[in-house]
Amino acid sequence: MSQNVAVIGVGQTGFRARWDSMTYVELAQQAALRALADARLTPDDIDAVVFSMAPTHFMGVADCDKWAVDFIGARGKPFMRVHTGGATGGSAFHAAWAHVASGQYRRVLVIGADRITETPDAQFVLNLIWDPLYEQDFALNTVTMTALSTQRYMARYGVTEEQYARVVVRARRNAMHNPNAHLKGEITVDDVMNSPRIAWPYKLFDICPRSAGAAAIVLADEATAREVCDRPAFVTGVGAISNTVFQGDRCVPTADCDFAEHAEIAIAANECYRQAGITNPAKEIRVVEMYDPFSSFQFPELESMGFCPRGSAARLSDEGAFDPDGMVAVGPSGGTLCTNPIGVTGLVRVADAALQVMGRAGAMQVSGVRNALATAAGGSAQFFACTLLSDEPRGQAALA
Amino acid sequence: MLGALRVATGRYHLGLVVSWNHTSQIDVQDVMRMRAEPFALRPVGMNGAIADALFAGEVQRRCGVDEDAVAARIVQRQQVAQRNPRGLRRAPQSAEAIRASGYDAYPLRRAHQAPASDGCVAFVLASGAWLRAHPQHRALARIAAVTSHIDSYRLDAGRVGAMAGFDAGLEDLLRRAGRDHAAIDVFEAEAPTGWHEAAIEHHLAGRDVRALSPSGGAWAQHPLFCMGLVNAAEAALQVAGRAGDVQVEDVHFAVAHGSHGYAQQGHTFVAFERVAA
Repeated sequence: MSQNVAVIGVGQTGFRARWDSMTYVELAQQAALRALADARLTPDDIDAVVFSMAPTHFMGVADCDKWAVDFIGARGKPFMRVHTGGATGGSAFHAAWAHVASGQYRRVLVIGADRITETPDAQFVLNLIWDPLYEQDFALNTVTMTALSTQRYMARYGVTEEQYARVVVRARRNAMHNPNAHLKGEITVDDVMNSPRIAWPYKLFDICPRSAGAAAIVLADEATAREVCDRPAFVTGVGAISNTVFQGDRCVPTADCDFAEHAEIAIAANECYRQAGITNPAKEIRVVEMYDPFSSFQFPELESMGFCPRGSAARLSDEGAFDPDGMVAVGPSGGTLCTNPIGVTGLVRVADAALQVMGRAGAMQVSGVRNALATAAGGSAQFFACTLLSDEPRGQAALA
Repeated sequence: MLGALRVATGRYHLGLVVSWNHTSQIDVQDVMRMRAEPFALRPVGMNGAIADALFAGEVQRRCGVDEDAVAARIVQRQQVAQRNPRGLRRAPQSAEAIRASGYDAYPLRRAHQAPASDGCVAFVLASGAWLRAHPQHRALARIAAVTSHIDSYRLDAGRVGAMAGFDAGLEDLLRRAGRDHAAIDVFEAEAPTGWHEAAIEHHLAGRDVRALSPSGGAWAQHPLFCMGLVNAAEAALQVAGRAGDVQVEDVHFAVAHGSHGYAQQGHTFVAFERVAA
């Protein structure tokens, strides 16, 4: 039987295009120390460390988790690196959860850092996720790949570029309350529409930045959490799903999940809801911190995760349903559209969701948050991880 | 290790753990060189072979092992590997040929290193609850404990060759398995060179280990980043009595070891117990 697990400390650096004043390992160290201080623990209190790091080609040192060991207090401890592409942060958090939930460890630090702008063009690196025999030879990268699925979604549900632009406007506005966000500010739909065209329907502002920075979270068993933390965020649901790397196989009538609808994430989210006893996510979950590196991710994923019927998210977005004071606050931190240190982004999503549940999100705080959902997506939009955080153990966790 | 922890949460009942390596597609040392941080190690050209040579030098100093002993050890391990039905059965080299091979980095000769190979290995894990509900399925082995331990990234004499992570990790594993002082029937070690095996044997000296790497270890097959899981498979087959021509008699408890990083920075261990018939 699972042991209850909670987030008891969160640490982040600021995120920006470059961090010339700190090395990779110093960034990781800063996040680790902030998370430990937040949890009122020292490095010696940590039983095991999980490292969140996606392709290390971005920052030029392969397997840089090993370099970071001495800087994050991991020396002499169990240590594991996790890598599932863009979903890495979510998967690493799940691995850290398993460390505690299994009963083997009581206090685990999960940490990651990324410096994507160390490479001249991250998209050349990202092209390598495809198989060398077929899809790699196409002009595929994460921009063109998701542009294709967005075109499919637009054709199916009649969504316009302006509706995506409003998502960007909301994200940048939300990010103004986030001291760590990379991009932020008051922009208009026209600003988005007039930004340089990248791959139809994407313009530059529809796409996340390439960010450098680090994040860390301390997880603990329930007894420790209640002892050291006034208001821990309990992990009440973990769900993840994988699908084929081949996009074509997700665009045919026989596909299990449609490429346009990110339908895989429904399986991961529903598993979270089942574990936590959530029956109406739109009413019971107040905040969703999404892995949305493109303006087009929110609509299909919110629909897949049961927040609204298929094809309705764009209209609801226009009506303000996903604003901080709307039906569900989507990305009150500004989300991935404003900050994307790829190997850590999923962890940042969990951190920001946990802060909402803990009531410590500062100017980003949404009122009345008892449940918050964090997502991550990776590979060729083929890996999805969902994490539900709550103010108390729920569902299965409440019985543990 | 993560697979075992996931099942231990009680949330998952069947798991598939897969590892593969296509080492023939790359120059391994180019990949290993990219692991060097850019300030001190990369400018001096650090790679996996040089790190292993630093390790070998420390083994020479700490354990009193010389090149002749390493060559003899490799000859013996190659002979064992010939019997492994899952091994590549490469033509063994003589001690003279090993001693005559060139240095990649002193004191590490080319033939001190097990040749890399391609390969893949997979495990199916099941919870006890699932097995009880499906009595038609029988476990090959019970996972008694898992753990890992990482040491400093530094390559100074204090760290390299000390094997502190190996000692601490193994001690933690045996404690978790409730076998602090019990005999280890089989220990499948990740030893990519003869020097590594000598070091591991030295650090196992205080323990009652009946058979060290009866599979032939890296000399049977060496898909670099799968070796930990290959060793786990070999250890599980030993406790299941299904290791074929390399089967050790009456194995009740086997330990698999994997390592990673420059000069064995990190160590992972899995302990397997025989399942009652």
